[in-house]
Amino acid sequence: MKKNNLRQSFPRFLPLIFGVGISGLLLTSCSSELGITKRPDVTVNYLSQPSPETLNLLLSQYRSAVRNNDDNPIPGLHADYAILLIKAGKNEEAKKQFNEEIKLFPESQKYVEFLKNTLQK
Amino acid sequence: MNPTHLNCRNYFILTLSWKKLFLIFLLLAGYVFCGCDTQKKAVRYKGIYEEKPAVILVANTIDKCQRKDVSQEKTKKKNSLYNDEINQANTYFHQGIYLPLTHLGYYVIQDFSATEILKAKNVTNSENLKNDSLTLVSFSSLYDIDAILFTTIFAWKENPENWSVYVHYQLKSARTNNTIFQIWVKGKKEISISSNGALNVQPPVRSLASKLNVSNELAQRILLFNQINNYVLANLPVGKFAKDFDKDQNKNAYPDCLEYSLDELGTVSVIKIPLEKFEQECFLF
Repeated sequence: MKKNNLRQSFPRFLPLIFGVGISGLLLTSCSSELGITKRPDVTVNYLSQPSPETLNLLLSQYRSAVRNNDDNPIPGLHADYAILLIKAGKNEEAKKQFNEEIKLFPESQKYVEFLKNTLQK
Repeated sequence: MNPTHLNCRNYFILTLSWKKLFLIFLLLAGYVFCGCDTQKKAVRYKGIYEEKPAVILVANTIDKCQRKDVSQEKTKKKNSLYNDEINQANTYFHQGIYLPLTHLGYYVIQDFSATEILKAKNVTNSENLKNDSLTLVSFSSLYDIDAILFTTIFAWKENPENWSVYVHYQLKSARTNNTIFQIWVKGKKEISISSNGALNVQPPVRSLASKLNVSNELAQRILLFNQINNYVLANLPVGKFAKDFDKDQNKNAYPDCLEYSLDELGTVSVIKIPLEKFEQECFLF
């Protein structure tokens, strides 16, 4: 009797709402991560394949990038600039750039030292 | 027993019939099986959080895409153009990996330095390096490189409505040779062809084609690649050089196999797909 009273005092479809609600919440939280997203900005790294024809252009692009690399430095930028400088025969300047890379990012020391020793031979 | 003394648990037990319980179970099971079992980054990227790689080398992309036959005079020109397009698109894919990873706070060894290091180790084929544990771990001892990112482009598939590409990313620890992250991605770009057979081009593609001075067809592929790279890599745990380093473990991670679709206007939709579907579409059809 008491059980029947209890049943009547609440809507019979409450469990159904509960179940659907929980599932809905879970699905919503999932789709927010995997559903429609804004189109991200398209970014392309143009500075990839060095060739003799484009070496000067690349050097000037890197020179400018390196000058603006103080506030939030990009890892590896000075090392790559140094490689271009070596290709252009500017070994002393390259050495400075390699050292700058190590100064900014001490974790780069081993590979930068390797590049410095190998390429400047 | 007074009904008001019943606690919440008893209330639900009393009011739930078997049918309703079964319905709730079905809904929850449906949620799990429909692929929305979102993992937290702490679980999905456990290896990355444990190893905390700082310095990453991006190996040259392994290109397994089929090229078209250029031995027949009749189709040589057209097929050569297609092959060039695939070559260039795949090169852009590789180049598009550096920036998202760098922005995420990793020390990514840049292109020229990476090329010189790989040259010094006589690595001409990334697939060989991936399967050669001895050489792979030597990158850690010799150069302090923590992890190497391998990418594979398996195939490009085209039909009149869309172009699809099948890609795999795999980050291997250079300290342990373990895979600490991997994901399979099907990228799909909706296209439309006009009555005269030319490709209809929307502003995002047109502006990219003009910016890079490439054909519209190539720009479609580059756009898709750039967006896949940005999307997939942005979900990795942030690196040592980012402010939130080691604080993003409770965020949601992407599944290990997904389909990234891009419609003509640039709207993106992403769904989880089973790896079997990826494999079937990529290798069987």
